Amino acid sequence: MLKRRTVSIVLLIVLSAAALWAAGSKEGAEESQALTLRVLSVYTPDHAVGPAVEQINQIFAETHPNVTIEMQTMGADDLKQVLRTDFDSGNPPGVFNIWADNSNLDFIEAGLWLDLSDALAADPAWEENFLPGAIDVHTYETSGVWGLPQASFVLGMYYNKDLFAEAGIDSPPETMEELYADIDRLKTLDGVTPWPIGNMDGWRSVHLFANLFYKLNGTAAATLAAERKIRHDGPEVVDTYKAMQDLVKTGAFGNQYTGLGYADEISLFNEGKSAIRFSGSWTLGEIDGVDAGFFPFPYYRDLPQYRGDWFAGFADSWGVAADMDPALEAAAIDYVKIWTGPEGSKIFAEVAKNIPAANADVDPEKTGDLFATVVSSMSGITNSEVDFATPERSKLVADQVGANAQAVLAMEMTPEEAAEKLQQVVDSE
Amino acid sequence: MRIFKKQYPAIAVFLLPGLVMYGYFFALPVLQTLLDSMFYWKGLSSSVVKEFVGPGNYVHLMTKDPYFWKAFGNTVYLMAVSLVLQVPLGFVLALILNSGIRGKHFFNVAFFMPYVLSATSVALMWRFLYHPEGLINQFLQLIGLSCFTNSWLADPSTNISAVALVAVWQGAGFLMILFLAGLVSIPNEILESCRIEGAGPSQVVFRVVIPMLRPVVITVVTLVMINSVKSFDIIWILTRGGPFHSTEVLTTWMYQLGFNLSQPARGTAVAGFIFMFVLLLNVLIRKVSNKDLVEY
Amino acid sequence: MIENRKPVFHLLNRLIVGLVLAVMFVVFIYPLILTLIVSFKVKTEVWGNFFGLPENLQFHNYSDAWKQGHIGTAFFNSFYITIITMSFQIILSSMISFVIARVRIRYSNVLFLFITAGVMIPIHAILLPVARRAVHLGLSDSHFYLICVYIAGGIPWLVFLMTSYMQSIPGTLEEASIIDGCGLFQMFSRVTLPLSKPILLTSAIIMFIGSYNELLIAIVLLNSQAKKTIPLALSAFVGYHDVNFPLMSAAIIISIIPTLFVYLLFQEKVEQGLTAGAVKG
Repeated sequence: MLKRRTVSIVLLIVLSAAALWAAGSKEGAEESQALTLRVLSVYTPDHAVGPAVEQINQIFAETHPNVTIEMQTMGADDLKQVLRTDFDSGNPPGVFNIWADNSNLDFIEAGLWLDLSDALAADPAWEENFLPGAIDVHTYETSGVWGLPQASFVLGMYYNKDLFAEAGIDSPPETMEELYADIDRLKTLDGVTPWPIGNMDGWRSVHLFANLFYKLNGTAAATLAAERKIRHDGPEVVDTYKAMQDLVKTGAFGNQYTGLGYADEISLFNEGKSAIRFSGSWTLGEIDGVDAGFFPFPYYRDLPQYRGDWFAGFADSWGVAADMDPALEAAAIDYVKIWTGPEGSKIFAEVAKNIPAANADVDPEKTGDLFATVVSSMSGITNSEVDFATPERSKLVADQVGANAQAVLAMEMTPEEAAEKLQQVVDSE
Repeated sequence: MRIFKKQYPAIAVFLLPGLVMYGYFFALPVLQTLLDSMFYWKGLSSSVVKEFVGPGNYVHLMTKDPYFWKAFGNTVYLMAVSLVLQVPLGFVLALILNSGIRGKHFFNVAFFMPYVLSATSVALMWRFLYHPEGLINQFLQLIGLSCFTNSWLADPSTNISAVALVAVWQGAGFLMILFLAGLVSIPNEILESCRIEGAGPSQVVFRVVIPMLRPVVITVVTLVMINSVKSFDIIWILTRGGPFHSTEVLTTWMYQLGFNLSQPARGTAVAGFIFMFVLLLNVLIRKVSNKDLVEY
Repeated sequence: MIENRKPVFHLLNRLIVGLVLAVMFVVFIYPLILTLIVSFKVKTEVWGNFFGLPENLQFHNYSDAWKQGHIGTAFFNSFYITIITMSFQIILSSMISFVIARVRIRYSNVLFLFITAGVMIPIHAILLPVARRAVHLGLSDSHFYLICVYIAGGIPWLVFLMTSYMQSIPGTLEEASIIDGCGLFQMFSRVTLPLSKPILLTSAIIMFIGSYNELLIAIVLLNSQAKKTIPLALSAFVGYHDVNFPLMSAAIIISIIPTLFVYLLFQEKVEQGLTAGAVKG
């Protein structure tokens, strides 16, 4: 009995140790001669851009036969965490997705990201192919270019043409007043929520807040708030909260919106159960089975000067790690060049129906009418800003802006209460 | 048991491998984190110089942090719900499975299923159930109670309870197998003799089984408290601590501070706070149960 | 006495118990059934109508999930990592617990506190030091390092659990074995371990599930596609703003099969109790 038990335990230990040692040594044996470029990206196979990844990697492989791409994809939340941990532990990826955000300065000031200005200067064709403003997005008031955008976007209103016709609306609204009237008409439709918004996903209410803020105060006011030149409990902010709650009271959002999410907005719209979707142009690839049109976010009739102030800018971007082996660094830059160049941008637009940050010779057959409508409406932009909290330095304030937007939209706080709370957070910084 | 001097080497062999593994790969990082919580820095911790502030981070958390106390309150609430609901439920399930009913395996797997699933799967499934158009609301409408339908995860008065319920649901199976492991160790002879002496089932349970399982019960209670305080995945995937921080708990707030709000030092302090809080709970439990940490 | 109870009352009792069991059964297993149903749906059928049956059974979801998530590789990786981790965890922890619970040494309390302190801290807090050590040792993207971290992380839990269960074992048998002339190791292997079988097996199940489903540490320590574990593979189904539920559900169903298998296997043995190879009290 003892012998058998001991023998089996010893055997187990020996086998496990052997397996462990084998696992350990396998790593060593895999030291290849070729270079490996690790790309950390949100473009999972299920992402709208997912299918483009293979094509791009193919193009890269043709010109860089001795470089292997190690594609590591995950959701945006996980990615932000992994990115931070990777850099902070000294195991950085070569190329990675980022979004323009002041918190990127943590990496930049530590010298962990590559300044792409030299690479841009060395290839004027590539540099000039970017849309205006694209390159400035990742400067964060330094003299370097710390990332390059892949996608540009505008926020606006997508609508179901059939439902509009059914409700007796001839043409989409241009002013908020017209929108209110149209919402009333849409409410008469059976089984249709005029304009559901998924308040469970925090960024939905923040986007609405920002857009209303810009139409009431202009995009420049966001920067003023960040610079503390206007107060966060001032009339600019309070009026925006009031506007949000006014919209709720029209019944536009239906009565379930507090429990719905972004995915619900998509499915309700695609099934013809909602008439309007407030979303960014990345959603072009998500609209399916509906004859959809686009109209810009309405402006206030008495504030026509803000008609051209849009919530728009650049979204998914690429960054490159600093201090890499020169050959690897060149490969990384080339990789980004392919993605953000004319060829990559074309693939990006056609596969994901997403508006790229650079000029591309897009095939209108593949991208569709709606894409063209959105792009042409962009000529109406005079000023643009991304999120209200984009120029904001303090992440705590930015976070409270979001929490407030959610609470105000859910009618859990009055405009005054919310503004006061926000100012408190601002003051405590 | 008396120790003979010549047993010391054997004892060392027993202790050292585990201790070394644990010490190097786990205890050291924990120590580092706790030490870090007494420093302040902004940005990536490996690239900046940290400034020693002693208890400064903790003081800031308790006085100026906007959501620390909310998170603490929610954590305590979660813990209370878990204790009150999860422990009896796990125990009852174990009793049922041990009582020799038909289809035991069937029920065993069913009750344990929630624990087998990863937190991601569990949370996603429950999002469906709690959805405004989800099963719970549909069921309420079906039985004519549609006035009670709600956006369970969005409404601040119900959402933390909704999250707590998911935790109870997932954890009950875990406790069940722990209790089962204890129940099967009770020699049948004792249960038989009780039955022969005419004890009814509830008497057997309360007068014999529970006292015999005292160390197990204490362990389980401790585990439930620790697990609920450390709970992260389920809450994060169900609500991300929202909406507007209404379901924020200590662990999610720690995560937010560290990864989203650029307050890494304060995030580490929350971790330190969690550690000390759990330690305190542990000590309290031991005191209340009048047991030494290790008893012979 | 039971024989004295009226048959009708007895029947009613059984009915009620049966009903309660049935309700609990449904409550516990429904989400799994739901996942099964969703795994056969088309993406558009998910959000509109969660609980309805799919129009056509999309069997291809399973093969799509397998391919897209590289589940084959992930399965292999997860499996061997989990088995190795579990084995070492049980062995090392039972040895430590034995010393703390059964052998009276001077610093038991301190030792116990030191080890179980590891239970008291959330994983996120130590993510960074753990990641740094990996780089420091040149073991980024390494299964070996991951396994070591998992083993180390499981020890506090297991020692905590096993110590308390081992304390419930009557000491008479061990003292008998000393009188018989057994050394420490023999006492451990011939007496304590067999008597601890229920908790050992239960611990094995808990640790298997823990390592198998672990996401956070794995996602940070493993970089390459070839090294992915199952939870990482599941994250392939997360899109930009939403999740591909049908494929993810299919992947989840596939991934829980080994766990169920291990569970059934071990639970059988737990329920056999101490009958196999035990010493009669």
